[in-house]
Amino acid sequence: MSCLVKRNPRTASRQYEENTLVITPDDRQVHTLNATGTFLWNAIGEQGAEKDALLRKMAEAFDAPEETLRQDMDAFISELEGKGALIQESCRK
Amino acid sequence: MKEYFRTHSTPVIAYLELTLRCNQACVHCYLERERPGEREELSRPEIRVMLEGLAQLGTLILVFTGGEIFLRKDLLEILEESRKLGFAVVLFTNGTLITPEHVSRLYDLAPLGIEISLHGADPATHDAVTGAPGSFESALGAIRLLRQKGLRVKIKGNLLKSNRGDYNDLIALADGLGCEYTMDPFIFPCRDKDPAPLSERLGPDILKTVFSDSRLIRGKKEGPGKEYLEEPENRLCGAGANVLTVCSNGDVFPCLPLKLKAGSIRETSIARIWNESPVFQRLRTYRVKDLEACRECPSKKHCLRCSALTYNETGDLLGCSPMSMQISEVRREIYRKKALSGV
Repeated sequence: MSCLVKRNPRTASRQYEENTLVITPDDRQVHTLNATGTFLWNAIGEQGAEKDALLRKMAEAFDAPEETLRQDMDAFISELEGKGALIQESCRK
Repeated sequence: MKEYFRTHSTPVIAYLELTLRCNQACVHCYLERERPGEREELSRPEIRVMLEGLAQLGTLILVFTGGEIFLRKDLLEILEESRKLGFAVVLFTNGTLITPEHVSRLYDLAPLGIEISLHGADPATHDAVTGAPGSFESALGAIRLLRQKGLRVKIKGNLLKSNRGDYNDLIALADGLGCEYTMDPFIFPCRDKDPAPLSERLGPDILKTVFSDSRLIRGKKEGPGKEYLEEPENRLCGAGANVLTVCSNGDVFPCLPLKLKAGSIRETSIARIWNESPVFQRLRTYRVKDLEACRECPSKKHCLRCSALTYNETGDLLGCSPMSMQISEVRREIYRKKALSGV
C-alpha cells in the first residue's frame, strides 16, 4: 500500500547545511531534522511524494538494505505526522 | 543547531518595518519624528527580491512591524509570498485595522504569532496612550475575531506612567480573552535620540513590584550558575549576528531600536550587506569581555542588558544604560531578599 506524504502547508522550514529546522506554527514548536530527515523532507518537497517513490530515492542515495530504509522512512513519517509537520493522504493498495 | 548558530552569522530572524506610517501616536513610541513616508516605502518587487535574498541567507522567521502594518494595502500579499518562500511569519500590530476578511486569510497563513499592543484595560487608559480615540475598542474587536478563528494572540503592554504601571487588569483581560501577554517596562529613547519617551518610565518602586511578579518573569530565574554577562566570550546580543532589521525605505539596521545603518537594499543586495557591512562585522567581534563598564559591576548577574538601549541612551554601544542599571539593581535586591528568606 502506498500513501501520498505531504508537508503540512502550515509549517515553515529552512535548511542549514545538512540539518533542517521545521516550525509547526500551531503549537509553535521547532523540530530539528538530521541529514536523513533533511533528505526525506526535501524529497517530499512542496508537492508531496508517494511513499514508494520516497523509498526508491532513499535506495539511490543510501547504501542500506531496503527493509532498513523502509523502517527509517516509516519512523520518520510517523514521528513528523505525530508532530503535525507531515500529512499522509490518499493511501491506495 | 545551537553550535551552528553560535559559529555562523545567520540572520535567523529578520524584522521588516513595512511602513513607518501609523494611525496612532503613542506617548512612548521609539520611532523617529521624521521618518520615511508612503512614497519612499519599498515596492512589492523590491520586497520580493529582499525576501528571496533573506531565504538564501537562512532567515526562518520574519517579524512584520511598523508603524502600523495594516496600513499597507498589500500586506496580505506580502505575507503570502513570504510563506511560499518557507518563512514563518510574526505580526506586530495595534489591531485597529484588522477586518473579518483579514482574519480569514491570516488563518490560512498560519502565523507563528500575532502580537497586539494594548496599554490599558479600559478605553480611557489605552486611548490616552495611543492618542487615538476608539483605538481600544477597535483593538479589542480584532483580538476577539482572531481568537474566534483560533489564532494565537499575544497582548503586549508597556508599563508606563500614563497607565500607572497598572498591569493587573490587563492580565485579567488577556486571560479572559484566552491571550498570552507580555508587560514590558523597558522604554527606549527615540531612535533619533529624542528623549521624550523617557518621561514615561516608571520609578524603582513599581519596578520592584513588576520584577517580583512571577506572572511576568520570563526565561530562567537567576540561580547559582553563571548568567549571560558573566561569560566573557558571549556575544553582546543577536543584533547583527542572528538578527537584522530592514526599514520601510530599504535601510538595513542590526535590530529594531538600534539605528546603525549597515546599508540600503536599494543600493546593495541584502546578502552583501549582511556579509560585508562594516557595521555588522564590527558588531560580531564584540564580546561580553569588551564591556568594561560591566566588569566589576555587582549587579551584572541580574542585568537584562540591551545594546540598543545602551547606545540610544549613552551613545556608547559598550557602555552602561541608566535604565539597565536601575533594573539590574532592582532585580539584585529582589534576589538578595529571596535568598535571605530561603524562598
